Amino acid sequence: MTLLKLDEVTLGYRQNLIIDGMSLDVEAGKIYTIIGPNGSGKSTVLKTLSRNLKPLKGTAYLQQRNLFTIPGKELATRMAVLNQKPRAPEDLTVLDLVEHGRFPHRKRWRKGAADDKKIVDWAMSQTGVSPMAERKLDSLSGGEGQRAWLAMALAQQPSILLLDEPTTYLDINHQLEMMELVKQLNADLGLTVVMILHDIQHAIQYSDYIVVIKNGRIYSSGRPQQVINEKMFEEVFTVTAAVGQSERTGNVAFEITGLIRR
Amino acid sequence: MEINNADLTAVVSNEGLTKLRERKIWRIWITFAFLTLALISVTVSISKGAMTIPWREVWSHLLLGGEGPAREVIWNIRFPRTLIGAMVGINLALAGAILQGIMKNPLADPQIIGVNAGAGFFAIILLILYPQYNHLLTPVAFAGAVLACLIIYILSWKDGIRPIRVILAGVAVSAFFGAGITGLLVFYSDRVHGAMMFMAGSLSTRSWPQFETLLPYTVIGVVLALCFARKLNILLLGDENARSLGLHVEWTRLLLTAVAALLAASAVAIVGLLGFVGLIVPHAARLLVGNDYRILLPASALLGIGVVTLSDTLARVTFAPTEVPVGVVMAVIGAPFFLYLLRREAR
Repeated sequence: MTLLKLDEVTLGYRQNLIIDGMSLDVEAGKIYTIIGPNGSGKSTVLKTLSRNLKPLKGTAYLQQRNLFTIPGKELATRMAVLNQKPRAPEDLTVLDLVEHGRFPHRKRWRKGAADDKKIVDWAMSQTGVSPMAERKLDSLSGGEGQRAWLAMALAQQPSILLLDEPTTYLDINHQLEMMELVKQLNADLGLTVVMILHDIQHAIQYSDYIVVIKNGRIYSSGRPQQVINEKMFEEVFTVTAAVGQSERTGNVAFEITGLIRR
Repeated sequence: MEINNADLTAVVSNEGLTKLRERKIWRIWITFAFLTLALISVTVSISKGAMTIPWREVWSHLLLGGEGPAREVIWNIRFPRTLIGAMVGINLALAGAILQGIMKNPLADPQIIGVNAGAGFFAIILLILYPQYNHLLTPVAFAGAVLACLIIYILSWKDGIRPIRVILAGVAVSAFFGAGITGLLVFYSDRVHGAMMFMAGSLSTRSWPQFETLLPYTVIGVVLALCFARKLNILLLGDENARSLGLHVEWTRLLLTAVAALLAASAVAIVGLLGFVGLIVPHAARLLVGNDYRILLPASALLGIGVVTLSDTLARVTFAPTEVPVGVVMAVIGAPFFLYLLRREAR
């Protein structure tokens, strides 16, 4: 079932077109990773999916409905976003933050529903931040902070999760922890995930589908083994690579061998 | 790597819950302290003056009624003046707290949206060029404040209000009106006394008519501000996060700017350009109760009452019978106190 759909969207700002007529179908329950060089437009695509940038042409759909006409709160109960380098007031605790995730479920005339607390607890335990509920966000490490923000996103009870470079500021251990967490949420809750990653190794390891973007267009998309090949590395990232198969996992594997100078 | 199962099932520890509860109780205590301060300041303000009225008598007059000369002083002069001071404190403190939240800028205060410059310019034109229309000071100053806000809105509007554009447009428009004020004061240096009182802010001779003018703005402003407390909290997470939580960021910011503008414009129109309350009171409250607007707004409002009424009392009493503009008193006492809070926090 197609959950999210971009139909011939042109994205950018008045004088500066970044994405030129792109179409993309996102199937429910799968993990999609967008990869591409800096400036290729991958963040712009995510900005449109998260409704931060209206398409200049074309339409974005969430199941047959125009994404940009769905009321904000309704959308927020179906789609959550983990933005890059999110900032918050310095005295906000993890619990405060996760409780904000219930905002779209709140009605003006009704006090917080009885199960709000239960869902907040659940979201914190899913992401392993319960033991630090009373701590201020400022005092958390990068990995803990990311998990706290992810807990807020989960408290929205979304069916779609958008992640903008969720591992960029983390060390290897916490990168992997984050990726495992995303994979687990996808497996346990059937969460549809669309994320941007720089690490192609992670993209191969954790995605059902990879979308490669080059110069504002989709260069290729499909299963990791269909997309990751030597030609792609050369044409999109201008590096040479040897691509083969991992003996251990059977996944496609690669080694970057050099830089192509133009 | 597996996520540790113990982590997954762990709930918030008892220790954590205790800490959270303690923090909440602390905030409520501080708010109570502000409430107490507000009540004491109001009592002192009514009690002190050319004729000192004991505080017991003050309250018995207010609550039970009474006769004698004290009745006249309380009901005709001090009580309305004190109430106006309290409402001005509420209005400016709330406006400042709201603007600091939506502009994401700790230096944001009502001046930034042009309230003071607009009100000041219009008031001074009236006071200096058309002194025969002095009685129209309040509506004219209010119109000036709102006009300056509107100009800044229009200049900074482009797919919604962006904080940085508002701040820059605010600086430009304020400079423009400020130049007008200075020009008038220089050209008509023989007529500046009334204008100077307005520029510094004063509660002198304010009474029931001004109270009636101010009341609806304060009531509506307080109700709206409190309704938006949770949305302000969401806005503190940044525009992108607020949007993905389902908040209509542009409209919320626009509406809240309008609320702040009306709160501040009504206050400034009545007492003149009190710059200090809107900037410092919310900050002082923030240092003590934190950034949660559900508690920060009431705390700021209560502290605003205390600061303005107490300063006004000092303004009346210190150099009696000469009255110092309340804005001067506030700055002289408030600034060092604020710096002390800041140093204490920075430790």
